[in-house]
Amino acid sequence: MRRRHLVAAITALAIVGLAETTVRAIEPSLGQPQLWPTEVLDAKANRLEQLGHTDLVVLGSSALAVDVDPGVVLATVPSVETAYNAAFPLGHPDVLQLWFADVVRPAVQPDIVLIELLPQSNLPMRPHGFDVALVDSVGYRSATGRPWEEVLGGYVALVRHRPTLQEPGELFRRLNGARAERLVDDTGFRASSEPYRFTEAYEEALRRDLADPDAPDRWDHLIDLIDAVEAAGAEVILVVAPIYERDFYAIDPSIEPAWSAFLTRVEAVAAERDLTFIDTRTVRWERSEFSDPAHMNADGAARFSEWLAGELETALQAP
Amino acid sequence: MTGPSRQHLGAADSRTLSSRMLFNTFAYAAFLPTTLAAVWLSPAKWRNIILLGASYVFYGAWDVRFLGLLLLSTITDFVVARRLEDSDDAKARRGLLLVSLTVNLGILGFFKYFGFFVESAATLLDSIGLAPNPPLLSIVLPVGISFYTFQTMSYSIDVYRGITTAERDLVVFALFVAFFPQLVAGPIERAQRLLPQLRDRDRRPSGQLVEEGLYLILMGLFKKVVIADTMAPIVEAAYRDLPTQSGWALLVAAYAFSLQIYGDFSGYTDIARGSAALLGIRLMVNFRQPYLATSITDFWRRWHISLSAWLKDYLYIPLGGNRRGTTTTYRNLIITMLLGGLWHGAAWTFVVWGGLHGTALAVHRRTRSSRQSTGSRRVMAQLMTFHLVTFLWVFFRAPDFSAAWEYSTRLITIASGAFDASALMLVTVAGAVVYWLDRSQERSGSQVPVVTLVAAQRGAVVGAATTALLVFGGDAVVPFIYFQF
Repeated sequence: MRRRHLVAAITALAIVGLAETTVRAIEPSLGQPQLWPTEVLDAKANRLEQLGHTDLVVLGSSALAVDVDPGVVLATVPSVETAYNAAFPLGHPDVLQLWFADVVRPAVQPDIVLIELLPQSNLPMRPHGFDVALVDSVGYRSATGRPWEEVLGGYVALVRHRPTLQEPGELFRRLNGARAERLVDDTGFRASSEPYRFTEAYEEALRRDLADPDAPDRWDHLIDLIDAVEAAGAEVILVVAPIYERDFYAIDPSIEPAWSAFLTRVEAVAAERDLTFIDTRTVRWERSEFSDPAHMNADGAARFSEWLAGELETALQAP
Repeated sequence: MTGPSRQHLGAADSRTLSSRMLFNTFAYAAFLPTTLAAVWLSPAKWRNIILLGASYVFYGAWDVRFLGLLLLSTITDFVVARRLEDSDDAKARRGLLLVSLTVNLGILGFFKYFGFFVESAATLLDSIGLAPNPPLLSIVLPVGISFYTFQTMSYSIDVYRGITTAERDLVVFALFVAFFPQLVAGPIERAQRLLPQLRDRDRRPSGQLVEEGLYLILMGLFKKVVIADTMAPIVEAAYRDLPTQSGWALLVAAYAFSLQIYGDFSGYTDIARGSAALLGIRLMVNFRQPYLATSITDFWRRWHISLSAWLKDYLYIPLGGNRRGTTTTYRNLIITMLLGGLWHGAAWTFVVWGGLHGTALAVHRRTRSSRQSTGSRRVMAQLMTFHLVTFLWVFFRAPDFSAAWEYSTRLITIASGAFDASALMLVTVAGAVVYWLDRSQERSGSQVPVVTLVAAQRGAVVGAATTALLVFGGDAVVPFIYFQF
């Protein structure tokens, strides 16, 4: 009986060991292991590593990631000599705080941080956004080191290359000699001007989020993020990402007052913390400038970036 | 209304759920051995009390407020059953049974269906020109409510029918209701199976039962983490961007959902049965290779067996079953499946899904042949049944009718659009693995065929499953679909 279990245990360990050895053997073909949950984040982390000191950094979710072209800001605002858009899809203030503390700040030590405000981005993870647990799951934490991972030689290769091993197409591509190039546009505008539409599920999610301005911990994450940025010695500027309001309001009658309450709250937070708040409501945005009601297309991003640069110039010149 | 929205079938709210006692979390990995140690290191007379305490901790980790509902259901049926047994007055006995049904169905109706019926009534009134102003309540659905209310109701009905005797030990009965491995998603056990096992304080799992339990847990984790959670993003992508998906992509996603829900639910059941086995309890088999079914009737004998049997014994047969003529039999089948659909969630899509299954059962009953199909006819019957079930899952998974309609239309017309070859590869591999697992079970006649293998083969299976868990696992926890029902 005991011998039977011993044979089974040794065989099981041998299989796991063989798999680990195989992945280690093909590791050179697999390229750099993915450290963050998406390739966009990996690409942005790599870019930030190369940048050195950067005057202005944008933090936020997909809205500002696609809306802000740092090149336009550089061309318009003389006092900003270097800028980088570090916002990323599904960026939630909770993860942004970790992103800022562990990547942005050590890499570029920004003087000014532009923080995006969008009601659903401030909610606790729902219905979109990934959380710190998901960041953990793809090896970022291994880079920061857990004791048992160090004992195991950094991290077992099976786990280190998880994202590639889970994607048969990507695995074959890499094994066939393709370089692990990131097909990522790390400034990322949406070129499409196709008309958009809401799905019922998306409407339901928006209805829940946008009509819920006082979710208890909505502001906690944002305040924590502001605290973290200020503690790093950077100036915080708040900006509400432009949305195409009319389409949002049409979803549910309670959205318009909730959105208005949200903006009032933003103003209060800005005043309370003595922060600059760039108010996008002063401009009329056209439906043709959006690829969906919360994300601008290339035309919209160009106009928004120019407008934002002007606002930034004014704000930075203020005494 | 925080009812069973389709969010549960889509993206996971990983922050809130990861803190709960899901079977696929480190919290459960710590909870189970701790409970096992506490139970087996204690004197026999304390074991049930410790197990009951652990079950309440397990349930309270979800939401401590709902322990009150669990206790209400427990005490009601404990008292009702004892009085039922002590009473000879038919009228009084009917009244007592009514108390049990009212309390349990009342809890279920209020917490699960209140918003659904109010909204449906409001929509109906609105359609005939009346503008109602329905009461809006934000009701959170208590986890596992559909499972434990059905289990306690069946107990009272069985005592009323004289099928089982009333339990005299409150701790044993409370454990019957709250036994943590099967509390939140079944199997829906029967009193005559589970109570005698719980009463036996000297129970000890045999070496074979422990071995089976460990293999069941490993197999369940594999089905959940490697099969279901790998299929989930393919399904989510299809439903998220329906208008851009090609018919072929939707076909792949339909297969993916069939594998996802099977891996998810049967994986959960395996972990539940494995955990119970380590506590010396044998829970009933809930899945018997359902995708190898040769007809829709056969499918329901293999899928969620504890619910199918419950619906048959407490709904279909009381309605008259098949004893009152052909038309009544068909009607009974459809009513049973409509309510079975509604049991899954407070949405009309579930009702329609159940209704379609009921209709398919009626059609099969009408057209079935008494000949046992063999060889290629059997394989053809299995393929047809699998594809019928897969197609009907669209109504189960779709967030609403318009999505179900759009999905079906794009699938049937083989619409042009996006197609992901990686998804096809993953679904093919996952399908082959599930087929191999089910065929092994079918051929060996055992739910744990690995125990029939020689030592080196067992080790290879464990090693391969562990490797797959290392590759496909992670800290991001995807909740079980059926936890929300």
